[in-house]
Amino acid sequence: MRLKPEAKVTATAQPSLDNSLIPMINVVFLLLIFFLVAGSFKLVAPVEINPVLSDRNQRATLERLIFIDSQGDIYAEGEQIALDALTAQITVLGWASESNTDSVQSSETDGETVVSVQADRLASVGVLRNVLKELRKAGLKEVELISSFSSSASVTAAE
Amino acid sequence: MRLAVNKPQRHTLISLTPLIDVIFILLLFFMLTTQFQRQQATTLQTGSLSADVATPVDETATRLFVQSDNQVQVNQGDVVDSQSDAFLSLLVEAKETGIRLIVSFDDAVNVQQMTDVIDTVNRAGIDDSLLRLDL
Repeated sequence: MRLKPEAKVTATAQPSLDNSLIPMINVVFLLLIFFLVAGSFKLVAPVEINPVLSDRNQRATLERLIFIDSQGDIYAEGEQIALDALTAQITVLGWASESNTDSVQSSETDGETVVSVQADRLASVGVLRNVLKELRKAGLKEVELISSFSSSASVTAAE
Repeated sequence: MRLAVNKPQRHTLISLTPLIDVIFILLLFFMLTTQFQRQQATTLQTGSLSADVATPVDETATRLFVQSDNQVQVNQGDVVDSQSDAFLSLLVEAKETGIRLIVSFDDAVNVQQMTDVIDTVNRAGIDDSLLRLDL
């Protein structure tokens, strides 16, 4: 039996709209998984900071952050903090746990409280030293100095 | 007897549009908040070495004092450039003999210069057990 031309057209299955979207959904899912697995969240600094470059290979924890800008101003939790108020602020924020405030024989942290300092590459060591002294007063024995990875060494020696 | 098998099955259509909306929003969120630059960390001891009563000062250690012009004073005597071969050979010698290094910095040194010196020391093979930063 020969079909009429109209009958041929109606016999062909029309792809539904949902079916045609499936390849796009697949691609979007793959992109989503890529960004989930390969990325990490941006550090949101309250002030512009040029990160220190280093070829060191120690992963940062980035849980509790203190920022020092090129002028030596100090920021924590999005607000500028005076150097004298840093110890009190650290205590208020609960960053100095009781285990760290105790007098200890070991100089290593127990992995409970890690405070990270991100300083501008042009911030002076004098300011950093003062911040570390205040953190010491708050009971913290070690901090992390955050740097961005750079395979080339000696970037801005004497800018 | 009538079998249930013969009952015509009803297909419920689930719209994919809300799913796609959610996935797109998630994708946008991760694209905007993600960074691929690796953040590294250098562990610093808080407080100066003299204030640290827990760690006895090693009298045999080599003391390096880094100045803002990248010059490094060795044991309050000779001065070498921190990027020179002389400094590197000094570090290699310290590593081979197992001498501890105590590195301190002038207040005017910037954080990048400090990190560069630490990187140079690490690259010479001196690990944290032989290096003490006096900050």
